Amino acid sequence: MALDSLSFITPARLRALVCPLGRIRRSRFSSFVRRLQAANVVRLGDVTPDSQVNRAMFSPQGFPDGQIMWDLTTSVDREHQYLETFEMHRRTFVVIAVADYDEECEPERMVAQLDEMKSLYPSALYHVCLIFDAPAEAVRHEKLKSDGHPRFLAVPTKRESKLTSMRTLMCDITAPVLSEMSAFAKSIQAMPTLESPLSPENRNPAGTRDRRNSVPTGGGLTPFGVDSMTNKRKTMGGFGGGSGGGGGASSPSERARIKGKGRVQVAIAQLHLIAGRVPDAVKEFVEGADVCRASNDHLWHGKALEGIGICLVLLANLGVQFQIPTIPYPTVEGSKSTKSSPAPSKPSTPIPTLVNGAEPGSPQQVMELLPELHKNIVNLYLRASNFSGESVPNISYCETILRHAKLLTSLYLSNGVARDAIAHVVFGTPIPHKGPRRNAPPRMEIEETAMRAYPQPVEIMTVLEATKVLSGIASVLGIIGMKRRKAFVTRELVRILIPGLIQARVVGAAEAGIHPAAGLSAISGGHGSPLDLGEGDVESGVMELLEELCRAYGVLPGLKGESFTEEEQRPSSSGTLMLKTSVWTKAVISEQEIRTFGWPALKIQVLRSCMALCEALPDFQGVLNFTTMLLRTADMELTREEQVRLSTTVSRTVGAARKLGIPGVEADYWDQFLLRDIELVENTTWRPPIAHNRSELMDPDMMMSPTSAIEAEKTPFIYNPFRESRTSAAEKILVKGEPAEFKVTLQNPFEFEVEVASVILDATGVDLEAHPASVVIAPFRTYQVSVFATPNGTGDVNISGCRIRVYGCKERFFPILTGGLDPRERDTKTKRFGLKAAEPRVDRPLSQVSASGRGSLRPPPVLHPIPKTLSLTVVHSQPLLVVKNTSLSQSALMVLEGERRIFQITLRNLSAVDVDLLVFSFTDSTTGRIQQALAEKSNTPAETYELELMLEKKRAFSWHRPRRHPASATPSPSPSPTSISAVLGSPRQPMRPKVSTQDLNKRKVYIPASGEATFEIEVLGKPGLTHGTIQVDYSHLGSSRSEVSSRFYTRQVIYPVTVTVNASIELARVDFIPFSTDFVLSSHSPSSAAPFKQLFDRIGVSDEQGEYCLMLMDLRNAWPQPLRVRLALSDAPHEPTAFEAEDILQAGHTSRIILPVKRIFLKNPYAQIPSISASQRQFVVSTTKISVEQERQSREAFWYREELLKRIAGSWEELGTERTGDIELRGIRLSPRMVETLRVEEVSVAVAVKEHAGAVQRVSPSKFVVATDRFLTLTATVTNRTARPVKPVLRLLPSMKDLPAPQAFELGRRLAVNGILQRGLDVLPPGESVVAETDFVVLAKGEYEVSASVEEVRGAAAAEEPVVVVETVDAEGRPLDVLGGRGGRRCWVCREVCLLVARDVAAAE
Amino acid sequence: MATPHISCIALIGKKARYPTSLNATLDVFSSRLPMKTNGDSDFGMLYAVDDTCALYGWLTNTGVKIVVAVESPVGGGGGGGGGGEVGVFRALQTAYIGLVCNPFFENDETRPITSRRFLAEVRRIAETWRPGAQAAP
Repeated sequence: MALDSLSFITPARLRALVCPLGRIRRSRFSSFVRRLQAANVVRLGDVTPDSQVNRAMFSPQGFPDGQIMWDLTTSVDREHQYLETFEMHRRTFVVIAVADYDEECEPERMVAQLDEMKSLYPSALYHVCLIFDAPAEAVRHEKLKSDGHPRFLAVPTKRESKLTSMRTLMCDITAPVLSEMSAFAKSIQAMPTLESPLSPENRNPAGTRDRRNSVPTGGGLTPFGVDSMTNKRKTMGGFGGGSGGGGGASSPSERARIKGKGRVQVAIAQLHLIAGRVPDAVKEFVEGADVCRASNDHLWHGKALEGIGICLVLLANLGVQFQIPTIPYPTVEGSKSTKSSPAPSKPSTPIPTLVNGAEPGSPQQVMELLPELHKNIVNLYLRASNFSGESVPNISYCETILRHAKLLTSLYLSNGVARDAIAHVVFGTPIPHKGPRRNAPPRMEIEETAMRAYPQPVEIMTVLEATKVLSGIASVLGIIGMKRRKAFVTRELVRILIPGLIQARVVGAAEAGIHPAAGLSAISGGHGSPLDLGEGDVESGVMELLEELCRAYGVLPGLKGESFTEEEQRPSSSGTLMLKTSVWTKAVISEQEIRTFGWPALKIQVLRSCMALCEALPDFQGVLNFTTMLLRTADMELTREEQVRLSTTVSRTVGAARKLGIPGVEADYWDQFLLRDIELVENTTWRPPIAHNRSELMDPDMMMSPTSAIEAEKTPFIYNPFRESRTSAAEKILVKGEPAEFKVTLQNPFEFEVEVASVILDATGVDLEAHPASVVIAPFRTYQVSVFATPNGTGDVNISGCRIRVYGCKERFFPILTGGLDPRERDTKTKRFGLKAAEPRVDRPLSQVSASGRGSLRPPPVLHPIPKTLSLTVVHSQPLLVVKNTSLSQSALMVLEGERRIFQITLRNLSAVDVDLLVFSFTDSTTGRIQQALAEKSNTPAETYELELMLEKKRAFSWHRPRRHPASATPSPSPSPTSISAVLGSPRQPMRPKVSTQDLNKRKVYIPASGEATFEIEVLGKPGLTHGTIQVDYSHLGSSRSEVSSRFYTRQVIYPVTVTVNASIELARVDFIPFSTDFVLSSHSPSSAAPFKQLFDRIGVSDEQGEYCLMLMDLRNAWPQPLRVRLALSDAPHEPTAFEAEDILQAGHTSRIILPVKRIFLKNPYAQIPSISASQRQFVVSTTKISVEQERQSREAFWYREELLKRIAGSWEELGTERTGDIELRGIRLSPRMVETLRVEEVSVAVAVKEHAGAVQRVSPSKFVVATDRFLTLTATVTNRTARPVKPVLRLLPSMKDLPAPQAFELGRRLAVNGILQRGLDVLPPGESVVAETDFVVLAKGEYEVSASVEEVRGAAAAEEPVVVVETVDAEGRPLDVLGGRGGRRCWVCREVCLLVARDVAAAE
Repeated sequence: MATPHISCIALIGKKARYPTSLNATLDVFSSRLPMKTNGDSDFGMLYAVDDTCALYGWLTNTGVKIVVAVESPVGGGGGGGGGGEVGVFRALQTAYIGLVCNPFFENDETRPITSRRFLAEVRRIAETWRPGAQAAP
């Protein structure tokens, strides 16, 4: 690294130019230079002294402790050659040529090149060539040898070299230099005098080059801005050149001689200083200063004093014991500043220690001496400026001041510890940081010192000089923390640099033949341009300088991406209090805070200067950075034209950089809110799957009714406080391998078009293959762009934003900021202002105490805007089905009521995944109305049952599936045409190819990947059916159903079907009539009984005719075609058909069909009417008050009807076509009378006359012909069909037939009974019967009737049964049925009266 | 042009809006602040821009900084030497207090003050000031 050129000890450095020789690569050269610079300090004791006597002037043996500090530069300063005699350190003493041994190293060429170098730099004392990475023998070549000092030196490679080898090399170079310096010094000593740098004699030879403005024409220093300086200058203006007078009067030539001697002595002293002989230098300086003072040579006097100060610092640094010499301060009459009045008579006498306590020559003492010394130097220089030609050059003056300011700064940094400060000044040793600053010396003093170097006006200096001075001032101000003052200076620096650079470009462009006004764009074409920068040429420090400048004015460089990421992983050890604020939110807020800081106009101004500088450099990246920063900080303040211009600057710069082939020139996009929203777009084709729980995966048998299962879970509670609310938004699901579309909203609040090169979704979790999109957003609007992405895995995916590349900008992640920034949410208390606001904010950790205590009561406010994240679930690849075709034309069909039709639907699997779960569900137009009717509260339970039955059991659509479990299915009888089940349920169509028996645990593929499958749907003609939909839920589970983990996903295909239902057979009327057995069915019976006979012949029973009743049915054909009607009847449910009736009905005709129905016995006809849907209502408040008796009747009607419907089935068939269907028989309604007809009582009584040969003849089941005056026996058979024992009382009631009631019972002389007519019987066990016999004699002929009744005696029953306690709630918690307890007295009458026809003669005959 | 006159008056709020050259004076404020004892709000001369212009500073107890640039022609006698400015600062602070006390005044420190009355008052103070004029209170 280069040394600080404004260091206090710069005048003590030995300047050497390092330049390349022969072919050498830039990187190799710079690495060699670095190696050399690392060993730039040479101790004199290590240097071999020159043996020649005449060259021993600077022999290192004179001061072995001394050091030579090499200033190894790679540039030569020709501009200040005229200063070289005045300031020796500016001189280039040595030229070190660096050659690379790896490249071609022909000795002849190298010698020639070195000679050329010698002629190029004739003023250098010694030219040497270092051959790097060379073996030692490389320089032993004959041609490389020289008689004098070695001209070529070999440097081993870095690996081979020892620790000291570089140092030894430097010593080897130093030794010849020192001996050559002797000669040089001799030549100076030989000169009578030395000219001042600005004297006309000196200027003329040096002024060959055009030096712009380098010298003030007025000869005097322009006044400096410091007030105190002004005063001093004014007071100084009073005395002219005649103030000296110390030297006594002598002739002008003598004066000139003495003056010249003094100057030579000062120059020699400088050489001593450079050569490291510090004590000699002190001596020479002091003597020279004395002479200069005597001859009023203020300029050289000041230079000598300056040299003394440097010598003292060096001596203090070396740590050698030395005495501070008496410093020949200038004698100024009336001067308040000089403390010590020097005695001219004894110039070299050491003065006693100035500082109390400190030993002489200690660093502390030196440091305290220096300000005084400096003040004198400055005064001397100012005084010198009054003489024309003798004034101090501006650059020297400023550098002197700055060197001193730097020294003070070092002292300030080391907290006043002089030793540390001096070490820092000499070697740049880092200063150990020790606690807070003591502000000693005061910052204000340093600042005032530094500002004295500020050129007023700047134009008096060349750009190079001004740059050096201003940057030096800025550096000092920066170190002491005066950032704004520093910014002030830096801004001035930038201001003067821009025209300088443009000037350079104009010159360069003119040389390259390009019009300079072509600006930046011209550079892209000009490869020969001197400003055509290589990659390594770009000065990295410029950006930092400018950023520092901007920061002072409140323009913060872009937030670094790294700073947030580490913030994110901050452990929340302090507990739950840590509110998760997104880093992006923080970024946005901090940027907003920065924006409010500073004065916008000033910021814009500064940024424009920075932009101009970067354009002048040209630094493409810098131009972009500052342009974007300007857009970022002041988008609202800029005019439309300005914004457009900035945007063109961006695109132009990027274009120019690309043309040049400079990679990585990209801006940072300026709007944090570019991305406003991301939404998932639902695709109509790729309908997203629906998630289900595992519990919804029913076994296949229940799959017939999936809709009810997929509905919300059933609960008796309308409101359940413990139920988890499912109010959260519907889960968004993506399918692996299927592209999903996202709608991305971008905004452009600027006045120019924003060209978005690519928008890519940024997702975490599952690998999401995002397809980039690009768009141009017109000015001042938002734009929605579609972005597609395909997930390549399964799981959860979070989309937190997009990676967006705007043209010319870096690809960057943008969070989704849907909300804006609410200024009210922000901290209203300004705690940091001024420069501190620009510093990065330090998050204070919450202390445990406050976190656990009060702090927890008030959580920190949620900061806005909160970035949105889109959470999606990616599921396994799911199949996609489409309806390929159906067997329906235009998806419509016509059915008759009760008809079942089957149609095919073919589904095609478009995906490469099998469908192994397929559920059909259907909706139709009837369900809605039924559900509406169900919702009404006034329904009776029977009505509700009926509606529910229609809803659940009689579905309009069903999946007509082949039998899955033939083995386990209910053993259905062989499919005979008369089988009821065949009529009701089983398909008539031939079976389709059977799917092999599948277990639940086996996986079944319904539709293979990219295959097809046909399914059959059965439609049942129901009144009110107009349309319906077939909904297929399908999925790919990938495993058997029992292995499915918690969730699975289905998709749907919906296919609408239009259905027309026409009426077919209508049930017009139904009646039941009792079937009396009071006629004889014999072969000789009258012809009128023939139909009955036929009727019962079919049944095949004649004995049990009393168990039958007749059912009359009026059926009407509402279809315009004749229909054949067939009704089948069985005696009991699930029994073979016992009776069949058939008829052909013409269109519009009504026919009555008579059916013998076996009377029905029901054990409990008063049971509660069940509910099919099992949707138990919590409370059913009967709206209509019905009596218990009515309830009993309705229940009876319900249960007998149900029983009847189980036995009867009807179907119709269109003649000539294959149309068949069922007759809807549920229209049957039973009245109480019908029920009475239909039912079989629980306890029955049958009366008969015991067969007695010759006396009794049975002509019909209940008609007997008996003889009079014979003892006969009347049997009363009581049967108990209930499930409980019954204690009956039997009553017989004989009467005369066909007589009015009073006469009918007057049987005293006509009929004699043995015993009583009314008697109790024994307890009758359930299911048994008892026969009670009563003897009687008919006394008179005639017709008699005997009726009987049975009454249950409660007393007996109660003894055996436990008393039924009336409870309101049964064991299952349901309210007890109102009919639970048995009703009051129960009495049964015999169904058929026994008819006795008494004749006098025996009937048997 | 015989007498020094005020050429610029700036009020610097907490949130920093400063003209370019006034910006630099803030460093002086911050470096002198530790030395100030209670109640002393006069910062004296902060910085001499050039020969003819000097900046004087005042810090109110609410942190608002008042900087007055006094431009005096060369040889005019050094800008009044401290005593004269105190009156100006007091007057300015009074004007500022009057402004802030207005309930309708929205104290947005990031924007320049636009109150017409206040600006007129500041202008009056600047125009009527003379080096010798010592404000009474």
